[in-house]
Amino acid sequence: MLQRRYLVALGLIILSLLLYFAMPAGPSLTLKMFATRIFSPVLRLGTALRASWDGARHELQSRGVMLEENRQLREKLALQMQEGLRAQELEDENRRLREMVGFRKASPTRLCAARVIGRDTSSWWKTVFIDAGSDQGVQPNRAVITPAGLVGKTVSATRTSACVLLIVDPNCKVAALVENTRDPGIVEGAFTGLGGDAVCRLDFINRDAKIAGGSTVITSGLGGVFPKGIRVGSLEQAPVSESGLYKSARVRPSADMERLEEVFVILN
Amino acid sequence: MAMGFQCSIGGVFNAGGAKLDLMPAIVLYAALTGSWQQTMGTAVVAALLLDTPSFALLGLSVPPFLVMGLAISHFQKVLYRDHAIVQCGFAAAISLANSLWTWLVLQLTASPLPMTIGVVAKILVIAALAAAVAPPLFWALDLMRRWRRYDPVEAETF
Repeated sequence: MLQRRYLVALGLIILSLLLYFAMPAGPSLTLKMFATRIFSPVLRLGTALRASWDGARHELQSRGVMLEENRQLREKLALQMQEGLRAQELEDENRRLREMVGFRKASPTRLCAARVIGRDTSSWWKTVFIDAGSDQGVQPNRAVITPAGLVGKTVSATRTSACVLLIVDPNCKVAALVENTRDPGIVEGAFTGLGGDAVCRLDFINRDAKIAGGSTVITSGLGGVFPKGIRVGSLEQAPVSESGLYKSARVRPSADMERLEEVFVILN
Repeated sequence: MAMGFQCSIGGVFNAGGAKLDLMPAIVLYAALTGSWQQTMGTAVVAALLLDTPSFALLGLSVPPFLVMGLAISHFQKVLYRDHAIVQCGFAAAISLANSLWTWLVLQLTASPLPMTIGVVAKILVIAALAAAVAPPLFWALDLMRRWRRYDPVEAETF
């Protein structure tokens, strides 16, 4: 009996190793998405409970806090209205100029709003699950953004949910450029230790590039997944050359990866 | 249920990047309570469930859970399962085995994980969280088991 026990265990271990190392990504992903589809209601229940808890906590806020929040929101609204008017003006001007130089009218971006319903169970990878899937037009390899900036890309989608690989994950690579100097590079995530902030790195910058710390990094549009011009983040310090071949620098993402609640998927 | 809870709580509770993992305690419960077949079944299912809502490829967590579950199950008779130290210690050991296995596999991939002080601290905090959750989980699972049925008292000869 003892022998049988260990033979079965050995068989299972070998099977799992084969599953991990030899199984092509396609069937593995299909299996995972099937399981995710089954667990999707549980994830939604968790999100609903969390929303109820947040709602109850919000209800119990003191009057002073609410008044202060109200004042801040009014200020923000006023600023946003001004920004909106300015943006409208710029858009009109842009349209006129485009017409003047005969540019093809850019196709309007189609967005799909989604809520984050779950996070990666492992502490080592950075993915989130959203409540929009192929029924809403979400397909793999679509850029995911928030108003603050780029969040990541979809890696798989079921009918009702999708898995988003965040830009702070080492498996996510984004073709980017520094906004003011137009120096190109590749943004990729990094594994972090305890307490490590969710940051990424801008690698493969030309070693002769003169870039100041704090510069904004945007997507370059190369690669076909991320449209050009989406804000990725800002450089924490001036890039340095560690290898002598190219420069690299840490990038602080514009979107807060720890507090993602609502995101938009770019459908086209 | 545990997996759904774990997936949902990831956005709320996150100790410096270390997430709560209930699966080591569940595998330990099976190893200290059930037969070796039940232990193996629980280890495989728990590992696959853990890998499903994660970017980790399916099957990554099976070897550590299976090996640790069976090793503990082998010594089931001589371990005092109701003792909190036993529960915490072995849950931490299963979690440590899983983290170290993940680290080892990551070394073979295109994005290896350097073993820095921060990474060691993260592995230890993940293990500590798994240990902390073991006694309440044992209590809840015992309650559910008793609710379903009472175990017949077996006469033992010394």
